[in-house]
Amino acid sequence: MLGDLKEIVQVFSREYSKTPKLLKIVDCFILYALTVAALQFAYMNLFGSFPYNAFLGGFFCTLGFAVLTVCFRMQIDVTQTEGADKLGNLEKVFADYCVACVFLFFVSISYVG
Amino acid sequence: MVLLADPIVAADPVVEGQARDTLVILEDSLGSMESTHGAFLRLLRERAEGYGGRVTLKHHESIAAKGSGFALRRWGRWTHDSVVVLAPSLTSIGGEKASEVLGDFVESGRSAFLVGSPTMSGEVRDLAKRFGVAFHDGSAKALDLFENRGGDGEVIRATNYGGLGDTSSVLRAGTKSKPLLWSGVGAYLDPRNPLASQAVAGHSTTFCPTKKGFVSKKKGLRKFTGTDVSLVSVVQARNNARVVVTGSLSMLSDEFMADGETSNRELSVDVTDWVLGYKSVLRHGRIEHSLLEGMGERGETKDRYRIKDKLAVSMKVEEWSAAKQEWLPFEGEDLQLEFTMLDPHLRKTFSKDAEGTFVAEVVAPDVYGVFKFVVDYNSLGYSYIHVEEQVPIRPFRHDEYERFIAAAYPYYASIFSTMAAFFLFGFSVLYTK
Repeated sequence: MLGDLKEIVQVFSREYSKTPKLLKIVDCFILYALTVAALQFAYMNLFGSFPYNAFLGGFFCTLGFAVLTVCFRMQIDVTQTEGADKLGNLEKVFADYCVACVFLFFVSISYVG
Repeated sequence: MVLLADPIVAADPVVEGQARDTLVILEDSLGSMESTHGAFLRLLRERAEGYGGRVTLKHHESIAAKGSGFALRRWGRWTHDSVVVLAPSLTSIGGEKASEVLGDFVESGRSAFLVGSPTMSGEVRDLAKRFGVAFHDGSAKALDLFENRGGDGEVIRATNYGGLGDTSSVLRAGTKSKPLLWSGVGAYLDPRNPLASQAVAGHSTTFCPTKKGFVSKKKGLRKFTGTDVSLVSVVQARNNARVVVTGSLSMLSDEFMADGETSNRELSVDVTDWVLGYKSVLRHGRIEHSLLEGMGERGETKDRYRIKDKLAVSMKVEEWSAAKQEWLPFEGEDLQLEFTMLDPHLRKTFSKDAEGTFVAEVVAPDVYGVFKFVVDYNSLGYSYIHVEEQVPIRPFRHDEYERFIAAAYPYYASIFSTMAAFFLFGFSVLYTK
């Protein structure tokens, strides 16, 4: 059992080390956003849901950021997407991602009050 | 202009009629009534003089006919403010049937004292029935073979003053401590009628016999036995008109009143004072409200308040003091305020401030809508009070919610840290080679 787990982790880290550096950076940010979301959820459970709108604003801001970043990652992943390695495509995808994120932050800020 | 100067609203004709004009209809000629019921007539005159009223005495036969020159209503206006009917054989007044004209009289908010006897007319019975007091059929007197004077059971020594409860709004405590000598026809009040109550009721041994002197087995007398027999009944109509009905003319006679051991004199005073509006008459002002804590200036009266605002509510209620001839703050303790939207959302007993004004502090409920303050006071013997004041309650406006709450700082931080992460992300993605 423990050996299986060890093997899974080993296989995962071996395969993961093959991913490009850019995607690893992106994964870092996704992990960060998910962690913050989880922390907020724990905080809300511990201290009560009084400013519930603020919780929703903060929680969905981080979740939304994670989701958008996942979408961004899917589009620049050479191994998954065809034509992703074309020159200038990174900038185009990033522009889309920027618009979506700015909109998300705007909504979140309005919502937390 | 008078109304503008005095915010207190006179509730009913009883209040307006402090200087009231009382018609007393007599069974016999004045001379013979003076000899049998002189004390009661004197009492009526003295109270009227002392309190600024007027008493007119008429023999019932002299006002019965249309051509008698007397009319209780003339061109749609009432010529008197209250009527004391000491005439059980009264049938008509000014050509009109007594039950109709006096029924309308009470419906207009005026008061009547109705006295029956074993020889009373059908009109008087009908009239009593209109007020919810059903006299026992037949002419036999109510009997009590245990609590009586003289042994034959016809003169009842009534001590059951329980029908009105503890209140002294009609009968004073001193009156209730002595027995009442009473001889006449018993009555029955329908328990479904909330407006009529027994001021003096029979004992458990009292009954209204059929002619032979006992209760017949065939025709049960369930209604007219025991404490269900009402000796003196008081009725206060919804328009605050007051009516007293008793089946005993002899209750008011000199013979019964002369006895100091009995309450006949005190009871006559109490009952006439009550029915003529010399006591237990209330008037009230508007419901005043102002803000204590919440949105806006403290002490400000607004046409609408916000949910959870703390409000101060006050109302003036005054009782007429005939002895002092002025309105004094009402002494009652059980006045309640309701804050109602379909149902009462809160109900609170008023407390009193130094000036005797009824005050209450309430917190508006956490529900918005069109509310009203309601004071609904139906205390036995006192004038009814029903006042409403509409006060809408609004929710928080969008910019009135609390901001920058300490508990929400982690959420704010998370958003700004995510924004920072976004910038960092941009740089690292675009400049990673």
